[in-house]
Amino acid sequence: MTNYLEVMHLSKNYPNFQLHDISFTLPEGYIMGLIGENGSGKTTVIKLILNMIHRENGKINILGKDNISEESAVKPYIGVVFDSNCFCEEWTILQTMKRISSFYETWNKEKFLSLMNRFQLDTKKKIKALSKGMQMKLMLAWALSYDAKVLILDEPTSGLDPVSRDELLTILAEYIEDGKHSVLFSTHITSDLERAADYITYLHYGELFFTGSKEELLSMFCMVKGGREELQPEQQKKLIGVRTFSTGFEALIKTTDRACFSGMAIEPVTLEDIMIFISRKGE
Amino acid sequence: MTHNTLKMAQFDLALVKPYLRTILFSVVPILILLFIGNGSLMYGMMFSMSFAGIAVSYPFTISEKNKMERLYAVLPISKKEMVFGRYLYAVIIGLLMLGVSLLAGFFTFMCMNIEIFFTEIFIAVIFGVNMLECYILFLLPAYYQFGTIKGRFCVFFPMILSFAIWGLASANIISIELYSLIVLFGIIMMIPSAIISVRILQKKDI
Repeated sequence: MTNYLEVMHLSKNYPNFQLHDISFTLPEGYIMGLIGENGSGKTTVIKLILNMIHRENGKINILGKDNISEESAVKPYIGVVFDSNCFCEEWTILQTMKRISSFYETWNKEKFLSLMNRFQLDTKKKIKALSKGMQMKLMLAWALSYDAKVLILDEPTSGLDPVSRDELLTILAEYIEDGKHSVLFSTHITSDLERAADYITYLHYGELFFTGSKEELLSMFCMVKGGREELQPEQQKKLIGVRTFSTGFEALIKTTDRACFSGMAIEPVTLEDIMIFISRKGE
Repeated sequence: MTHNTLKMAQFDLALVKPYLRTILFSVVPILILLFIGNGSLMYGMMFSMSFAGIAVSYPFTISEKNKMERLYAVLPISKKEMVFGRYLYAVIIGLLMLGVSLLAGFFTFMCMNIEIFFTEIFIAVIFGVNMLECYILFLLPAYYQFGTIKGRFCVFFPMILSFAIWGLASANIISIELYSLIVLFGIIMMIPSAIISVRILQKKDI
């Protein structure tokens, strides 16, 4: 299996934030979710992949090529959907794509126009007249029209209605169907990843908390629920983040510790549970 | 690289196209009035080249306003090509303004039956090119380093420099030949200026 994206020992220092020793790989034909709380370093990682900022340490390979020394060779294979518009707002969709398409040798005009049709986007409309969802679709159409091999999504679904989000996930599923495209999907909306992602990379305050298959992450933890009085001191030590109610508690535990909680209700976790309770542990 | 540099210059020209029309429509009448009032090409040239200095900043302003640095980060072009394209754009805009100024001057003086001598045209062109290259040499690296708002404060330096050189030439302290050589040197200096801008952009966190 070829790795389309390899991030190795990546570090970046800001005065108030440090991204420390991040490593992960995205194989060909899969979707990887990049998750983490606000300020965990997701956008920093994406900016480093796109060579928008300088790294202190580490290396990034895209399709086996270094993202800095071979930038021009790598860029035609990367598509990006940002959280907000990145085009000139005064231009129409057609003007925008006419200007941008000249940079791509593999630009497929028919595909672009058919995507405009599918997304019901009027090419005569100015960019500033497009809604957030439409802008997201336009960026997606841009990436798909030159057949980008690696698609990077930087929180594209924040602020989108469930219908648009569902549409995006359907398109992503079609995109990776041939096994020759990969997606790095940064989002807060973990339910989207529960549905679409094969792999998860979880950043926590600039550190790599987990990278691997989604199933592996979900199987590492479980949720224990019970009455407050049921909890023994030894059991309390094993809790990773607790939420207490007047009637009881719920807490995240490692699956390997579940035997210590016999008699209590133990349930599977979601990605959101993991993020919330890991964050609570940090606090 | 040349191909992408050209595409980038075209992209920048397309960005400023709507503003360019407005500039030309507002500059030409003022130019004609200046030519009528002074009977000399120089004042019109000073005015139009000052506008060229403003137009040089437009792609920076528009890109900043639309947060297009993210688009540039995705486009399959190197930072070097991006910078060289913008220098090419600045040269094209400057030459366009220079041409507009000369044409407006010729037209006005022809209507007024005023004869223009070759020396006057030559000095006006030399001055115009010198003003343009001063803008490009100093303003573009300043815009890359400080952004458009802070970079704009550097506009006075190239303006003062080009006026000072012209002042020395018109006072015969330096000869026309030396003035021409200074202008030629300025054109050559655009290459190190562009390389400095590339370095600035490569080191900059966007």
